[in-house]
Amino acid sequence: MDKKELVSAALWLCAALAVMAASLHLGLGVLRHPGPGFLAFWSALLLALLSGVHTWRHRRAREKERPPAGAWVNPPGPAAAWTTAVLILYALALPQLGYLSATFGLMVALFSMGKLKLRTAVSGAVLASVLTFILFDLFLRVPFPRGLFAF
Amino acid sequence: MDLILNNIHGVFQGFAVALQPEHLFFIFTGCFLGTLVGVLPGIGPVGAISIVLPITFQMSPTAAVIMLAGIYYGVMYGGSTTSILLNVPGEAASVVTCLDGYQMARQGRAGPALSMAAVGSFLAGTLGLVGLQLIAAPLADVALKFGPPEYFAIILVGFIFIVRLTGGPVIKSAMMACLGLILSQVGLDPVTSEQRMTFGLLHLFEGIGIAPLAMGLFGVAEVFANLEAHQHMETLRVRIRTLIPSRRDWLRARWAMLRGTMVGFFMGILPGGGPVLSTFIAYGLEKRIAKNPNRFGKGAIEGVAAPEAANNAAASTSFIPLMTLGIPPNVVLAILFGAFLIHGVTPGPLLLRQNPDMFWGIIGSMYIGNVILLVLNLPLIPLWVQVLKIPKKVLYPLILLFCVIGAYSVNNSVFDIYVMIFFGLFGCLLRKYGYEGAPLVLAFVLGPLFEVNLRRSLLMSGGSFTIFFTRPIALAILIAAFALLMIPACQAYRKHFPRRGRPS
Repeated sequence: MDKKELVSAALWLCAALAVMAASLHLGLGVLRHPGPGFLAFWSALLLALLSGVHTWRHRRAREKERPPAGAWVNPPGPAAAWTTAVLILYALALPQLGYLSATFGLMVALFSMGKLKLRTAVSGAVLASVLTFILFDLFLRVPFPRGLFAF
Repeated sequence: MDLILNNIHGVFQGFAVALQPEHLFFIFTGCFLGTLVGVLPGIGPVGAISIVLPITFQMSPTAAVIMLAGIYYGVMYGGSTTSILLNVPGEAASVVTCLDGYQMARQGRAGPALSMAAVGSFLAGTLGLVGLQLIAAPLADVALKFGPPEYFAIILVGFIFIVRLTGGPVIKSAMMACLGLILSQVGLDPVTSEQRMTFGLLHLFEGIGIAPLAMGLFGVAEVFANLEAHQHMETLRVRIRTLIPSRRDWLRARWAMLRGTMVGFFMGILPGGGPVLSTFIAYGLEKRIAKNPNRFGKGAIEGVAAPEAANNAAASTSFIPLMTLGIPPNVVLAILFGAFLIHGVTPGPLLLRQNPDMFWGIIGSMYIGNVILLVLNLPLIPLWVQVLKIPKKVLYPLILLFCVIGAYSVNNSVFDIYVMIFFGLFGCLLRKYGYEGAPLVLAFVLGPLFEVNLRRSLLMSGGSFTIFFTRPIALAILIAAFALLMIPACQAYRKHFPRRGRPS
């Protein structure tokens, strides 16, 4: 059986069981007065059944049809992982540093990851952060965090 | 007679709204952005509408929806340009156009192919709008008589269509729909106001926002996927000698356009159908009925006209279920549904009565938008080709920045940026494991409606499911749902056991 499919089905099964447990805790209610966990429970049960069917169908797949690699052969690549890390850092820094500083940092990092020259990356980052600040904060009145430097 | 008079009055009302300078500006902006997004591979209409959504917060609801709708049908036009000239589909609904459009370009007939795509798009879009205005008002009146059991049944059929038609394996789509339903349950219970799966986080009390979820699944995940794709795009230099198709081209394409329009018209209304699927069906239909099917794939003009007509007709008619029943038939309209709600307007049967200016204004704006797109597309072809030369290392960081701003500005909350990043990564994993994001988003949007109508129906009946079988409309819809489930099951049974039940 394709391990990749097995892993995904197992993850769905675990998620479904967790949701079912949470739904039971919330209360299913009775049919004439369904409780807050009613729909989530039945959706999770269906998800669990479907993941079971998915596993069963893939068990029947023949050996030669299997992809050669294991379950985590295709995790998000380094580019996606780095980008995620940069975005998380940005979200952490945004309230502290304020929009302009944090966005400048984000754009320099993202442009540099795309192997732009440092001068180009910096000037691009300045342009992107200032223009979006003018458009969204000043023009469209989105209240961006001001942070330490008050901008 | 009343229907016709009301329609004529409504169209005039719509034009009066759409022709206001402010609205004209937003129609143009929407069409321009839509064409731009259609031209650029990687960003589909879902990502584009999600990214632009926060910009609309300061606008009036009518202006906002007019602009977002412009992006949607603008994408359908824009996608054909690069499909024909560069063999690069700007978005999924233009994939089929590559087959014959690019071959025509290689034969030196790019101009006629582009013209036919534009004219077909315009005609189909306009005919789709005529259908929309004729059907929408009476359907909205009928829908006013629907109660919770009818709505529950319609949404159930919607789920089945979504799972069957959104592409990919049915089981995986069904799993995604279940997950969407579960995610829609996060937040306060609509009846008892109890917290559900919020983990005590205040930010989750109002549930997961559609904007960060959609931006993550379709915007950020798209960027992540493209970062790893390392695609090299080869640009073919195409010289456009003339834009005017020959008489023979017109004769060949006219019926193809009409058939494409019909296919698109019905596929647009169908939940889970939409523009992408309609192009494949229209192309397949043309190939099947052609006297010489071997011409297809080698530069047959019908292969351009039919799918382009189909996707534009579908884009127009997909507004019918949204504006009359309050049910988005595809994922783009699901985001638009969210946009309506964010602007304090509930799309559905009451939209026409409570917001007639908005209802007819949207329709009027789409007529005008179709004309703008026709004018915008053909003369600006060289510009659209240049747009493709923007390096990805510049484009993707900018898309990410707009996603971040978009996620933040819905609630002015950094938490939504985390939600978006989470769903971006999640969407990337889903793609790698072969799961479609569209059923998840559709089920997520329809989930609250589904739950409320199910619970209300059960309350009405004192806990008996017979309420769904004793009301004729609900019963008819459920029979249709059952048939939809059984047809593929029967086909699968026949395929696996071909001799069983047959006399030997």
